[in-house]
Parts: sequence; C-alpha cells; structure tokens
Amino acid sequence: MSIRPLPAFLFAAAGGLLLAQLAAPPAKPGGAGAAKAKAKTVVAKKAETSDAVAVSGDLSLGLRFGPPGSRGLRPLPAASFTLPNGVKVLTVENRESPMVHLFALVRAGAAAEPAGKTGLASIAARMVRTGGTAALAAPALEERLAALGVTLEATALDTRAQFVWRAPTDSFSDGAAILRDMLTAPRFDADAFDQSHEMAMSAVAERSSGPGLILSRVFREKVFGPASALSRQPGYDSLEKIAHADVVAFHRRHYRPEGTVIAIESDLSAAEMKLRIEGLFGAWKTAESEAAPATVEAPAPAPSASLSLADRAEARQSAVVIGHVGGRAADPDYGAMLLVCEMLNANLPRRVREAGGWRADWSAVWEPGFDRPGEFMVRALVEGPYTPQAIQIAKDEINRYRSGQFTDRELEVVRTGVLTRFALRLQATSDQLLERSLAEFYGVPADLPASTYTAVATATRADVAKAAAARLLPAQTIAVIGSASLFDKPLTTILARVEPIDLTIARPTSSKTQNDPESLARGKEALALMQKALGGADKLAAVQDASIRYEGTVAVNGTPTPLTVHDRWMQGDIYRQDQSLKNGVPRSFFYNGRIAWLGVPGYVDPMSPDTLAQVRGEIFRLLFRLALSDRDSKRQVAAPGGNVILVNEGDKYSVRIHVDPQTHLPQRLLSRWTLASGAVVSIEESLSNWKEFDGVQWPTHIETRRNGRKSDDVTVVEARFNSGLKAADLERKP
Amino acid sequence: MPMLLPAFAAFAQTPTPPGDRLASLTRATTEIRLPNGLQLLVVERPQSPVVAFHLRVRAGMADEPAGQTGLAQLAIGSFLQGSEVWGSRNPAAEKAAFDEAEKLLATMRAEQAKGEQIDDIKQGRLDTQARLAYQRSNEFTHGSRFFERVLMENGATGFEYRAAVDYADLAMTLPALRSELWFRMVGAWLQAPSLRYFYEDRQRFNEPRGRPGSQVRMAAFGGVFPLHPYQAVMSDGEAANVLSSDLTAFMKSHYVPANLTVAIVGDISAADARRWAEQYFAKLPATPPPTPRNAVAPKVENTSPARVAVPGQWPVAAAAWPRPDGNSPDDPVFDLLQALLTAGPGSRAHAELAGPTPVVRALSATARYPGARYAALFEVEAEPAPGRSLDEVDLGIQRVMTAMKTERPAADELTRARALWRTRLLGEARTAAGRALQLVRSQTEHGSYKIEDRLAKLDAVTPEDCRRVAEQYLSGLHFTLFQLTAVEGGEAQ
Repeated sequence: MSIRPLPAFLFAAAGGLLLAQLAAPPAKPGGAGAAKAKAKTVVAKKAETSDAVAVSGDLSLGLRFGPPGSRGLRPLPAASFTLPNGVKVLTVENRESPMVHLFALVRAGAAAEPAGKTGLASIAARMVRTGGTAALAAPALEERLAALGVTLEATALDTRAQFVWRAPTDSFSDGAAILRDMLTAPRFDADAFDQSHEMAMSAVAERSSGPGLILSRVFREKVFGPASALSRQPGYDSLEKIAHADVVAFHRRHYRPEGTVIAIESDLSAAEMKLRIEGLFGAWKTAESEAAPATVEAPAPAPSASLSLADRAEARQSAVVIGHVGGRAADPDYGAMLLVCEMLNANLPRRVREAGGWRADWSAVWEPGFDRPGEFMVRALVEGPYTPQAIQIAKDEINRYRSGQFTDRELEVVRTGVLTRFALRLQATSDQLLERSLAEFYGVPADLPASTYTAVATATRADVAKAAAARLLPAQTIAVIGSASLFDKPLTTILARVEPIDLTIARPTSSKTQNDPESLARGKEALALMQKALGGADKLAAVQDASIRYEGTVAVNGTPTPLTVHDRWMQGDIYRQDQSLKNGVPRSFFYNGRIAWLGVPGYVDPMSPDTLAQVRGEIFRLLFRLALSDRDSKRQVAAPGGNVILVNEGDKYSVRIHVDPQTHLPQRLLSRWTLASGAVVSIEESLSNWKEFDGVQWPTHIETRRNGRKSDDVTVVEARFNSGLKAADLERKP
Repeated sequence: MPMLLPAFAAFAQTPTPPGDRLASLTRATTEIRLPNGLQLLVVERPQSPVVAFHLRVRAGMADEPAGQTGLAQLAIGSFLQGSEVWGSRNPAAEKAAFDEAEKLLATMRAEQAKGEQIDDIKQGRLDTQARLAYQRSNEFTHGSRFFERVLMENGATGFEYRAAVDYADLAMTLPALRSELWFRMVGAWLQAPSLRYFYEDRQRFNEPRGRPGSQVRMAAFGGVFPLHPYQAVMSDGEAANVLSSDLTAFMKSHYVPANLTVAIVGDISAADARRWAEQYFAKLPATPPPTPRNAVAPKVENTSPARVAVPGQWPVAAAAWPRPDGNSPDDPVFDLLQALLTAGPGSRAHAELAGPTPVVRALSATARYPGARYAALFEVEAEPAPGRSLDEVDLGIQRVMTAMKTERPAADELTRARALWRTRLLGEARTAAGRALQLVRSQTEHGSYKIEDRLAKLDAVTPEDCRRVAEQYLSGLHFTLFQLTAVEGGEAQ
C-alpha cells in the first residue's frame, strides 16, 4: 500500500497562500454617493435596519454627524493666583480621581546657559531631580518617593526646565514638599554631578550615530543659526567647561520663584489647594542676583535655499528632511497649517505610488513655538536610488499647496483626523492643564488650544490656501543622509550647490586638571594613600609582570555574551590580551611599543589606530602603574576634591579615579578617548570585591559601562604577579 | 535580612487613603445593564471631544475548543469585515455564494476523508467550483476589511483588537460627534457577524499571536496544566484547520451579552450611551454564556528542574507555583507578593539576589501566569549574573521564598508595595483609553469595576497574610523549575 500525497488544494490547510493572491483588491473608498447608487439596485431579504442595505457601503453607516469640530474643547476651569514671591499658580479641581498632577515650569532652559557652557541646563535639571535635597541624600530620597507613590520627571528644554510630578492625593503634601526642596534646596552631591556629567558626555557620542538626530541638528543649525539655543548642542568642549560650581551657580541664578509657573490638578477644592500651595512654596526666597534672560532671539528665515549631504557609502536608505522656519502657536493660521501638513501626509505616499511605487515613509509637521517661531519639516525615509525623486516630489507637493492647487475634498478628508488627534493629545484634564500652564509661562492667550481646535474645524479652503501661500517658503533647507553613489541622478539637479555635512564632533581636550598647587599637592597625598591600599608603593613598583584571567560577559549588540579574557603585561610595556567570545573565533591583541597586531588563529593584521588607542589606554590604566603616576614626570596628578584623583598625560590620556574614602581603593575609573572619526568613547569601570594576589590588591569584579551603557561584566578567576612571563610567549602569533 | 533599610524605616507610616476619596472614581461612573445582561460602564469626561470605547469578551484562547487554535483571534478580528449587511452590496446573494463554496468544501473534505481512494479529478473540479463560488461571494462585498475603512474615514485612533489567554479585546477612540457609529458598528457585528474574507483572515491570523511567552517557556510549563483550559494555550497551533462553521459556532456561544463588558470614557453623556445601547444592543438574544470549563488544578509532579537547552539563549531559571484563580480571596495577596519580591531595587529578591555581589542580573515575577480566570501559576524568573550558575540562582530564589513564608514583611515594605499599586491604578486612569481598559479589566478580572474595592482589598492584606499565602502556595513542595541554557554551537546574537 502506498500513500499518495494529497494534491495541494485551494482550501486545504496549506492552500491559503494561493487564495490570498486571488483575493479581490479592496474596493476604493469612493464617495458615499457612488456606493449608494450601486447598492440601490440590490434587493436584500435580511436587513438590520430598513435603510441599511441601501447605504451598506456608506462609510458613515447611514448616520449623519454634525460638522467636524462642532463639538469643541471645553474651557479649562482653572483658578489662578500669584504668590508674593512671584510664583504663578494654576489649580484645577477634578473630582473624578484622587490623584494629583503637578507641573513646575522654571525659567532655566538652555537659553539661560552662559556662553560656551552648552549642556549646563540639562545637567542642572538632572541634578535637581536626582542629586538629593538638603534634608535627604539621593538614595533615601528615591525610597521616600517610592513609598509615597510619587513619579517625577525633569527635563530642560530651550527656554524652560520642566518638572512633571504625579502622586495619589494622600501623598500630596509630603511628596510636593520633596519637589519644593529639590527646586529650592538641592543637595548637589559630587557623585550626582559626575553621573550627570558623564551621561551628558555619552550623549554627545550617541548624537552622531542616529540619522534622525544628525538631520535634526543640521536642519536646526541651518534654519536657526548655529549659535541659537534652539540649535546648539552640547559638545565635548562645552561640557568639559562645566564644573560642579557652574551647576550650583546656574541653579542659584535661574531656579527662582519669579516667573516660575506651578500648575496642579487634584480632587482637592481650590481653596484648600491654595492654602497648601502657599504653605509649600510661599517661603521660596527670591535670589539676590539679577533676573535671567529667559527667551531666545527670534530666528530670521534662512535667506537662501540650501542642500546638505552626509554621504554614507553603506546607507541603503536615505533619510531626508526638507523645510524651513515655522510659526508660533498663537498665530491665527496655526490651525490652517496643521491641515496643510496633514494633506501632505495624506498625499505624499499617493504621489510616490504614482511615480512607480518605491518605498518611502513620510511625515510632515508644523511644530510651533510659544515665544519664537518653530519649524516646518517634511521628513522622509526612502530607498537610496529614489532619493532625488523623493525630494522633487516633496518640493512639488509643497508647491502645490503654496499655490493653492488643492481641492475641497482633499481638505475635508484630513480635517476629522487632525481634529481627533488634536483632541486626543489634550484628552486628559492634566494634558490641558500643561498646555494652559505653558500659555501662562510664555504669556500667550489661555484659550489657545480651544481656539486652535475651532480654527482647524472652521478653516475654509480659502483660509488654508492663504496660510499656505504665506507660510510655505520657496527657500528651503534640505538635508540628506544617504549614499550618493546609489542616487539615480545627482542632487545637483535639485540645487546647484550641495554642501557636505561634517559629522565629526570636536574632540574633547583632556579632562581639566586643576593646576593649582593645592590640588596637585592633594593629588600626591591621595595617590600615596591609594598606593598603600593597593599593597604599598614598593610592592607595586616591583611588579615585573602580570597575568590576569577574567570570565564574564560582554554586550554584543546589546546582548550579554559570555567571554573569557587573558591579560598579560610585562615590564617594558609589552602587552597581550587573548579573548574568547562564546561561539566566536578567539582573538588576540599584541602591542610592545613598536609592533601592534590583532590576530585570529592562523592570521594577524596590523592593529587599527582606534584599537591601538584603546590598548594604550588599557596599559595606561593598569592599576599598579596608574597608582605610581607620581613617579612618571610626563604625568600630572591632581585631586580637585570629592574623593577624586585626576591623572593625565598631556592631551593623550586622562583618567578620573573615584576613591573609596574609607579604604582608599579605587572604586570607579572614568576615561575617554577619541576615535579616528572624532567620536569619543567614554569608559566607566566599577571595581569591587578586592582580594590580595601575590601581595597586590586586585579587584575581582569589574563592571564596565561604555558611553553610559553597560558593556562588560567580568570576574577575575586568576591573577598572578611576577610569575616570570616570557616575552616570546606574549609575541607568539595565534 | 537586607530588606530592613534604615533610611526607609522613618517613613513607614503613610496615611491610608480615606475610602470616600477613592469612591469618587465610582461616583463618576454610570453602570448600565440591559435586560439581556449586557453591561456598560460610562465615565463622562466632557473636557475634550473624543470618546474611548473598550469591549471585552470573555472568549480568549483558553476558550478555543481542542484543535481550533486561532479561533479566538479570528472571532475578535471578524469585526474588521463588518456585519452581514454592512460591507455587503447584496447580503442575500453574498451569503448564498459563500454557502455554496462551503458546501463544495464540505464535499471535498468528505472525499479527502476517504484516504487513499481520493479521486484527484473530482477534487480538482470541486476546488475550482469552490474557488469560483467564493470569488463570487466576494463580488457582492464592498471589499475586505470594510469596518477598518469606516474607522479611518471617521477619524478613529487607537484601534486595537486582540485575543489574549482569558479574554478578547476590541478598543478604539472616536471623535465625540461620531460616538453613535461605534454602537451601530458593534451592534450590527454582534447581531450578525460576517464570514466574508474568512480564508484570507485565517491565513492572516495563522501565526500564533499573543501566546504567553516563548515556545520554550510554553513547552516547559505546558506539562503543568493537564486537563486544564490553559493547556492548549501553552502550545503553538495553526489556525489553518479552523472551519468557518467553527467560527460561527464559537461566536454564537461566546459572543453573548452576559459575556460582554463595555467601557465608554469621554465626551459622551450617560443618557446618550444608554439610549444608543438600547437601540443597538437590546435586540441581542439573552443566550446564557457557556458554563466555565472544568479545570483540574495545575499539578507539579516532579520537583526536579526541567532543563531546556536553547542555542544562543541567555540562561534563565524560572520557578512557578500553582495558585488559585483570580476569584480567590487571596488574589490581592499574590499581587502584593509580586511587588514585595521584585518591584524596585529595595524589593526582597532584588536586595537578596541582585545586590552588591549579584547572583542574578535580571529578575521578574508574574502573579498570574498565563491568565487568572482559572487556577494558574505564580512565576518568578531570573537570569544568572556572570559567573553564577543556574543552580545558584535556583537556590537563591528558594532562599528568598523561604524567607517569605517564615518572616512577615515589614510595615515599610508593605507600604511601598501598596503605594506602587495605588499609583499604578490611579495613574492608568489618566487617559480615556486607559480608564476604559481599567474598568473592563477590573470588572472581568476582579469582579467589580470599582477600583476602590481592589485598593481596599490590597490595603486589607496584613503582613501575616503575605506570610501565610507564601507558606500555603509558594512552598518548596510545589516547586518547579525550568532552565534555559546556552548550548555549544549556537549562534550568539
């Protein structure tokens, strides 16, 4: 008996694929009238309602609704008062839920940063949030917030620092007091400064990695000018200039009651809330210093069109942004421009389909500012070859609205969606309260959301055409990241001059060593204590060779992957590292001051400059050598305070050592080096579980963070000093 | 024990919220019950002109009859196709053609059942005829996924449909002006769901969706549920074998008013909601819901760990203990135990296992796995820290659990666990869609839509309750464990 395979029939279990190909294309969502006319010829026996069949293809299901937007946003029933110290307070009573939402807006955004210290406002906001208060150190404070059920986020934007606080009503007074203490009496622990500073440094390196971030930066620099608070971004140079004292000074000068807006939604009565707020924030004293400038200069529209390209050979897709300076939230035609952008969003994909149906994702936004114009941007992600076409399509489409060549139907199709999204964004009372407090903070009309909603609902085709003609500018800023070799025609067909985008980031200078004699003397002292803790200076100086084996994990594309490492070093700076990654090919690194190679079994390659820099850094940081930096005339050792020792060798190497104040053992090593591309790698090693090996103290657990992200986590399985290593063994090629 | 944190102790006292304050949530909610048993919960939020709708059906993957994997997802997804009338150019003709195709297919299946005596030529003819009849039925429609186009045209956002283990959910937000549309669409669909494009949908839903965890996890825990509705949920299956008649039968028995809970939050009056509910839902027949399936309590027969080797996977140790279903009076205790164990760095398992010399690098607990309508599992899982073995993790978990059942939690621990739940529950009510989901979840999973009932139950849990429940349910006797280990030769990603 033989079993015959069953024929693959359409409806058999496996036949679905065939069927899917057969499926009729979805009917076009044509006008309701056309559907109705066709449906009328049909007789139905079974109908839910008498008219249902006649309109069964009607996308409103036979219902008639009021004109879009005829039901608008309700005015927010907010009470407001000003405390004698200048804090403006808005309160909204909402009896539905025993939850309090509180927003604090402070005039401490990037616009208030002193020249050259870009990034200070963000570091300050982060430290206010996480650096503890006069009454509570950071860890105790976090636990207290958890016990109260408080969530709190802090951000610094261009012209404000913003604190968003939420908690159940019963925790209000205790939890808000903590926020008050953060704003008025922050602790600013040195550790918190280091962490905030390091995170800011890491963010600089990340900024150059994502195409979206690069494009925004380039676009804003072109549109607003490179010096504007709207476009300037922290770099290593600006962050290097920021010290703990700057944060304290920034806080003293800019975290002040006058101009601050505090807005609260709660189920408490307005009268009770007023009493509580007076009790909480009434004693916040106005700072003695002069008031701070809080606004950014209004940018002039870029005078001429520009096209910039970051040519990345490996990019299969291009990221594109096209646009120019936008408008303000209080502009009467803001609503009309939301409609224009939505028409772009609806029609750009259609235009691409007509042009041949390659892949492109679009998004058009009109992002208004409060106290300055915002931006108009069309962003696209497009298959490499079609990049120039996509740019042309976007330009044509923008031009079509500029010249008013669009239909009523196009407008009506998008209106409902714009209204729903607008209403959805402001669906919770607290969403509206934040919007209302921004209006108060920036001095724009309080009913702005409601009037914008009405404007969207009622704008006629003529209104929208007028707005588009006035607001869409012929001089556009275009920025592209993509592989020029893939483009089906050169970008010069769009604009004669194509400027290259410089992706390098100014490399950091060495950590600022405090050069004052006192700091240098303290550095020597601190280093001596560390030498003693590690086993004594003589013992360290006597180390002729070291062999250390580690086991643990390294993050490979974010996934911790097991690995073993064997580090060997010999006097004369001969160094070798053998790595074996789980399921990977073993790799060896060798350097002896002259020769540097990277090898896999049977094959070695000269080491790349970036890898070599890393290896030299490893040697520089070898603890028994680092601890003896005072014996090396090329090195400078300083102790700026806060249990920190700075060691640097000219501009080449620098390490910031955090020392345990009790044991004098190093707890954390922070170091940085610059890659050939200009990007900077920052490394933070946490050392713990100290044990003695051959008379030398060595950490047996090392956790490494690379650019702020956890990367390696290893334990020492063997450490030997002066075991008589042979140079020949280290040199041997794998 | 490291969980006593001195810095914390001073703040152990946090006032309990007065019941009256929490009751405001309920006062703002209108409950509507139709004579056929349908329940609607309405919260008026007139501030912004949008309305969030959430329909929950007690018809999840656990309700799928044996061999009909994917049915729950097909059922909730059939909403997209409209109703018998909406989306059809000619319902009678469409149905006649569809039924003809089904009849031909039934004949085909009967032929196939004959095994080796299959007549290929006859099968081919039947297949062509069925295909043509099916195509003809599609010609009477307004295209596939008609209701999805209705939603797009009417500015709907946040549209989601999903069958999970215990329930199926359908959620969306509409402009307030178009609220009636929801009642009309959902009412017509529940009254007479359509089978149009059934075969495309079956294809689309063929991939297992919303399964409770990875295949390995399911395989490891699958054996714990013999003769239990969750048994089938714990394995992948194909929707390919589901027949259109299965879908019809499933919806007829499960999509009945008593099995539905609706929450509506936003710019809509309770009076309008009631009027429309009566207009569009009152006609649904009051069919009694299917009796709950028999569930034999999950059984752990073997205390030795099941080890599953997975290439390239980070090792995971998981321990699970059988727990009663969500209606048990001890249910809130399990929620608090979950928070006590793993919520935040100060929690017990974190302090004990992820502290300065960590045994684990990641840790989590699930109070109700894979669901809670039936007796289920309380699960703890952890990934070993570098250099630590799975056995060490296993021992560590046992150590923490042993402490749980011998020592009552300190007042500050319990305070923090309660604060976490209170903030979570109150916080998720902020958005209209969040509040709507919370209402149906509270009603279906905890038997009352009143959040204050749940919070009161959480507040009533004593330190001794935590210890007792840990001892009664989370004891070593019922301990099971599976371990995923990396194996040689696998690709590290």
